[in-house]
Amino acid sequence: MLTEREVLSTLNMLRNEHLDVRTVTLGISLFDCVSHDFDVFSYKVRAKIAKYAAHLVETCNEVGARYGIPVVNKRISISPMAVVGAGFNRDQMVRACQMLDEAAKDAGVDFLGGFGALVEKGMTPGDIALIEALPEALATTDRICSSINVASSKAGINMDAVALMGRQILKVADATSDRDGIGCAKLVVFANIPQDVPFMAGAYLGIGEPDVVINVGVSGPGVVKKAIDRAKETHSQLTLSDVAEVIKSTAYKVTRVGELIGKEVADRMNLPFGVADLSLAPTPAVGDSVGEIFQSVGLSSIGAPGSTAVLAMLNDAVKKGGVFASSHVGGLSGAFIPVSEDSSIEAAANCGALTMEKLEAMTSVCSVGLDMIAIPGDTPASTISGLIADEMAIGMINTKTTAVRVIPVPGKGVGDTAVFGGLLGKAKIIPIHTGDASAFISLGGRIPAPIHSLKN
Amino acid sequence: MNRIVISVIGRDCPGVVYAITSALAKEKCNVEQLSQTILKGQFASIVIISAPEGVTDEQIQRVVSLSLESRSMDLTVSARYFETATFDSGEETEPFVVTVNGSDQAEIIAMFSGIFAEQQVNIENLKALRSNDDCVLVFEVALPMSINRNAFRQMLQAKARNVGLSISIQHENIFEAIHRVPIV
Repeated sequence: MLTEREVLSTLNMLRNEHLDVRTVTLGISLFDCVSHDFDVFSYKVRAKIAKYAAHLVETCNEVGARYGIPVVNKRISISPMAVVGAGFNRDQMVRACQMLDEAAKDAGVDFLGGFGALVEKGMTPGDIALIEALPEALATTDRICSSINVASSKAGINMDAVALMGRQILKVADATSDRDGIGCAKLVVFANIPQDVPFMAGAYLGIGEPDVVINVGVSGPGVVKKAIDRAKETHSQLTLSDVAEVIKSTAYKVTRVGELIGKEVADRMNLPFGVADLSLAPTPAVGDSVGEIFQSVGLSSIGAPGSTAVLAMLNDAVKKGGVFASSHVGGLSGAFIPVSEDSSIEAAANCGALTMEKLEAMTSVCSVGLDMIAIPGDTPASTISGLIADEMAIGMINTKTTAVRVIPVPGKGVGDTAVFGGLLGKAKIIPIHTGDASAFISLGGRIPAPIHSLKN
Repeated sequence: MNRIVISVIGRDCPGVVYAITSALAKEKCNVEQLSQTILKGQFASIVIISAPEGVTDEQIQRVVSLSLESRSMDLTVSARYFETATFDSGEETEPFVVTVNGSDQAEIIAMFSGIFAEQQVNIENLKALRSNDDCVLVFEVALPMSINRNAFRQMLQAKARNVGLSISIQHENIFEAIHRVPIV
């Protein structure tokens, strides 16, 4: 027998606070599709994706309806394309990306991730072919996401790859200049990329993962924000200890929902359940914002002094609640601060309350990094590479994941607005430091792994 | 050994349960199962007892009533022999929770329980709450496996929409998952 509080509080979370499952991501290994012949490879990949993904959307909808909890996004992640297509040239990589786009559309998923490479210590011909293919590949496809891992705490930072990615990001933006450089919204540069991320654009299926697996991304930040607001109404003397407890309890609840639904989808599809990713992923909808949580705990907006402390507490409390709720936690598991995808963060960046420097500071304690930030279209490649190098250094030294997803908007400058639409949102272009990094970036080579990488 | 089911209903006050159970103890009756609740100061209890051979349901009703009256407690007692043949369609079911809320209106419970009755869906627990002009109904139902979930959901949603109410139909596990630490 349920208590009325249990029923009513669940309904409230569902109807007013955006309680949902943010993504169910089907991971599919493509290692058994490898062939020297592109057509054979392509045929096998299409057949494997079609076989396993045919009922993904339908199953997620059925399970969502059974519990009254919507599964908002259904996605696919694949083995890193630069590895499974190591023998392909640039043009074949473009065709592979287009073939994956068709497979994603056939399966009815909104994104497919894994058109990427792992180059933290060096680049193979396959890696270079894929990175060179990025501008055309991302401009001629709609649903493909790419992630390039250029650094790790074990291997250090591959500065040649960092330099190359600075140039490629500009080329991707140019190739999609008619849509405000939207190709860059589907391209992330990582340090310490996890192998099982269900969230885009970083989703891919790592080398040590199962053949086919279901990973889940839990609900968004709206539930946490509303729980803090409720606690403020009922506590006369709310302290940060109380706030941390509220976040932790709420993270427990949303993770249990994600785990229950993810496991049932996996069972129905006769596949193993991989991990629940605890990340709070905002959307541009009002009431579904990480930025609003900062206001709920007393800051004028995200970006004000105290923001890094709030984010650190939020990220930690989310993990503590989520870890107890799920048997397997993985992916990024923290709080995202993607500027254009979060109405409150976007508003703070818009009015100058949140700067690039503060965003960078916050990435030392959040789960990803400089995310969905629109920058001037005339930003030099070396400046983008400098930004990437800084962010990779934060990840490498702190043994955490960091990433850069910036969009140099072609033909637009500071104060102009870039519109990406849908979940990707819109953003006003913010200023970035104009200091020159070109000589530093042109040095190339590798920044060696930190001393604490030697743990054996 | 007889099994007798007793119901007691009326104004609540301290000592009601003692008045009932001490009268039963004097008759050498054993309480097998008991459930009680209080709604707006009104006490209601259902008790299943095993009584020695020869003790009748009328006798039990009389002694419990007298015990309450002697303490000036204003409650009504009724007792009858326990019937072992309970409702069981024999069909496998799943526990679902149907929650209806919106502005209160006459016949709202009859409206939804009518659909359940028609579909052979048993209501296992029901709570109706009212605050100001709003009401919330929480039906815990056993949904037979043979019922098409989508069609059932659509039927209830259409009914709720016609009378301006919100409705949700969810498997019970979601509430357990969110609010309870799993029992291992």
